[in-house]
Amino acid sequence: MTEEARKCKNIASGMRADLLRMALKAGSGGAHIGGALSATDIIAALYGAILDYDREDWNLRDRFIFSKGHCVMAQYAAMKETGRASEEELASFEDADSWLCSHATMNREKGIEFSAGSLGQGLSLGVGVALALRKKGNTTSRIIVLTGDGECQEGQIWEAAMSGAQFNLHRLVVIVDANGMQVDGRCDDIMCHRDLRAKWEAFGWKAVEIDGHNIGAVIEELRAPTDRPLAIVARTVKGKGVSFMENSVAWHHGRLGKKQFEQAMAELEAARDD
Amino acid sequence: MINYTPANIKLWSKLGARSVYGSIAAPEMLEQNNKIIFVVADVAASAGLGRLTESWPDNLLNVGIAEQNMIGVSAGLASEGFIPFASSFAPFVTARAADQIRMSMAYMRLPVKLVALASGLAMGINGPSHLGFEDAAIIHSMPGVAIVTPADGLSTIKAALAAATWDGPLYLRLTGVTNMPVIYEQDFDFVIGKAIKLEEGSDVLIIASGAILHNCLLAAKKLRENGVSAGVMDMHTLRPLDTGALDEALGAKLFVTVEEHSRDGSLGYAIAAYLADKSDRPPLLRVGLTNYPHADTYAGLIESAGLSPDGIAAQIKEKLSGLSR
Repeated sequence: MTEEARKCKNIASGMRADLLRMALKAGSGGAHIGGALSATDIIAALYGAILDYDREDWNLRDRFIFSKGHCVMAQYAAMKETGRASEEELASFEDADSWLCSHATMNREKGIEFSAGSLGQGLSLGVGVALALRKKGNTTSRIIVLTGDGECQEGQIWEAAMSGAQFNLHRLVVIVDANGMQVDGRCDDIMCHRDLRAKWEAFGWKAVEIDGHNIGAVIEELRAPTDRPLAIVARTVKGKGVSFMENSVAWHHGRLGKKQFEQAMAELEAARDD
Repeated sequence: MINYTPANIKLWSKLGARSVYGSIAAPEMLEQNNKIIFVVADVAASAGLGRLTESWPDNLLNVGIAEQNMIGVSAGLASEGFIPFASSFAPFVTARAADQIRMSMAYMRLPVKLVALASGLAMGINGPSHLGFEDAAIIHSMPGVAIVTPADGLSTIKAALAAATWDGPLYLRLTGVTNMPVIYEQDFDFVIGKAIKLEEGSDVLIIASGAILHNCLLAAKKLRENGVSAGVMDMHTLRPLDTGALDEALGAKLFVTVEEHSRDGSLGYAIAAYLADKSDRPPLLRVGLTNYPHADTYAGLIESAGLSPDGIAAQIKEKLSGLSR
């Protein structure tokens, strides 16, 4: 493992603990922790190695668009682990006066580019941003959109996919957090995508399929040169890192009790020692 | 540079709102601000924007027949400082993409300008699939989106230019067909949110917007001939509603809203809500569509919806006679 990947792995580890704390705080209201945990390694790779938020001109930042907005708690966790949000801010998750809402709520200064929660819309926004940045002569920023595989059942995703290829937006990336599950069950049972990677390729994108928990692979694919928009179908495990949440639809949106929290934290601790 | 000559003003109404928007207003808007991007869902020709492919190719974006994506792409452009004018036919640019409009334009307040082509009954024999008579109600249900409906060729240009400098999301509703009657014969001040009194009258105030204003003016004339003093107000902006102009007219015996739209959810509802807050108020007659019409010519649809000059005048007379009993 490279030094960089190891750093991202540490970020991911910290994020998982943050997510558990947020879920515990959410209490009986529940939290979308399953899909946040599946996306954690991807987002750790983005925040640890890919997204550049340190440019002097904020206009030149990378644009990370969190389309599966119900899992935005994973972005908050990444922000905390990389010093872009404080522990106190994280503790305000879902408070009425907090910017850390359960669904992504636009906050440009913090790098939350758009509000989300209504699925299928982030890629269209990304297409618009990519067109705008090209018009402005910005060849620095990348536009990275995170969607879920369940979300790919929305027709608008494919309208946007067509346009991303039509307009040759090679600075645009979509990462599909393909955890194989949605609220009502397994994607394959509810509305099967068949071959997602092949679909993106058929729509004119450079499309790759990787293990979404292999941080090194995520970084590598994002760094590989491309003259087309890039689709990364990242195979992931819903609830990754917490044994009783893994591959469990119940944890799409679940209530975490104190005992479960302690068990989950102990598992994370054990995994960290490995 | 646009020349507001009498000949041009006549020509613009002849062309109709759609064509004037794309072929006259759009190039002028781009001269003033090249951050404007005309985004279309396979309607460049229908919107009169076809010529931009040669003169302003970088400012015309066709997303194909994909209205939901069009709103998202426009919102993305707006978020980076561009001024997108996104257009398609009224039902496709509203009902089809309502949640995208709600999220990006209403909730996030991204300053997209949405342009409905051939709204109202203009699509005639194409039938209800293409008619725009719920569109304003859909947008009206979303707080914060301005809604503007110009009445003729000249006011379409004025409204489009005003929309380009409006600080926020906006819905521009184009109505009527070609050979629109001229309402405004010379250049005038068009201010979003500022109603224009076209006719003075003390008994009845007819409030309307869009191409149907012409029939309202003719109806008012008929009423005057029958001894009823009827005024006509161009309420071209549904939101923000010019309540000040309404306040001044509260002494009338009757308010009438006339809409080339469902009489529910749009102008009639807005005026009813305004009146509901007043302790001393005139009654309100709402003239407009009440159901899905069968496909017919524009004139036929106007007639059967009770929106002809005679139809409007008759409904007002009936209402007035009910009031005096």
